[in-house]
Amino acid sequence: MNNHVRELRGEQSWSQADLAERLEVSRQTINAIETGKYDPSLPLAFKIARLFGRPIESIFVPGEE
Amino acid sequence: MNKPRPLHRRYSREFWPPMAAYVAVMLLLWPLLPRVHSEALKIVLALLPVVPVLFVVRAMVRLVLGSDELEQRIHLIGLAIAATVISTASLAGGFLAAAHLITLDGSILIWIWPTLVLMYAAGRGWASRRYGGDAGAMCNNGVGWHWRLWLLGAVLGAVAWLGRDQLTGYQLDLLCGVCGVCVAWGLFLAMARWRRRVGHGAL
Repeated sequence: MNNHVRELRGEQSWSQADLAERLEVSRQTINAIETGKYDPSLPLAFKIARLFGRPIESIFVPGEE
Repeated sequence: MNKPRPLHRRYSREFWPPMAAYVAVMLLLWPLLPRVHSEALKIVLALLPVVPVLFVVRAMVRLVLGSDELEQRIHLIGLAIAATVISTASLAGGFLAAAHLITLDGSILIWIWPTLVLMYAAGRGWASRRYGGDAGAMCNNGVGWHWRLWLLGAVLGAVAWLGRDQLTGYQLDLLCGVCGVCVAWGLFLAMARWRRRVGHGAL
């Protein structure tokens, strides 16, 4: 799965640590999501979408099968 | 090293005092065991080290429960690796003992918990690296791994020194060997860290 978390975070001028604090997760989790090494759970994905004020499908897009 | 998270600071606060108590019990009270004649007191003294260990387990459980979803997954991978290695090694040892090829003393059970924790830490570090973190990311309490290893080496060295008259030659060699490995490993990590810092400074 691909995502636009890094771009959205950049738009807000937040560091990974800032975003981690807002989402109540570790900085490692943010880094793993941004680099595509980890796909977040549905609750965390919704939390991210709510934080950036966007629909979930505009942030997370399915990768090639 | 990044700033320690409150969760990791709490873990350090809850982990180190019982660990220090465990070392104190093992150094000061456990050696008294052969001199105790009362059966009840002997049982109490023999099981005394388990009490601080229970507090250590509590600290570890609270760390895992307070972790986020990725961290919990990493903890699970670490535990799965540790459980697989220890259970397979126990099974192999059990078969060899049942076939009378080796003799296993009951006190070998003491080694299961520390080996499990070490394997868990190694497995957790490996899993953490797979997700782009480093081995210390899962429990960054602000103390470098080289300092932790040197501390462990110092404790083992102290145990070997204090117990040199009571320990067997094998036990003494084992303690000194592990102490040496901890010091050397800590030195290696400290040098690697120093080289990384110099490398970053040169860029």
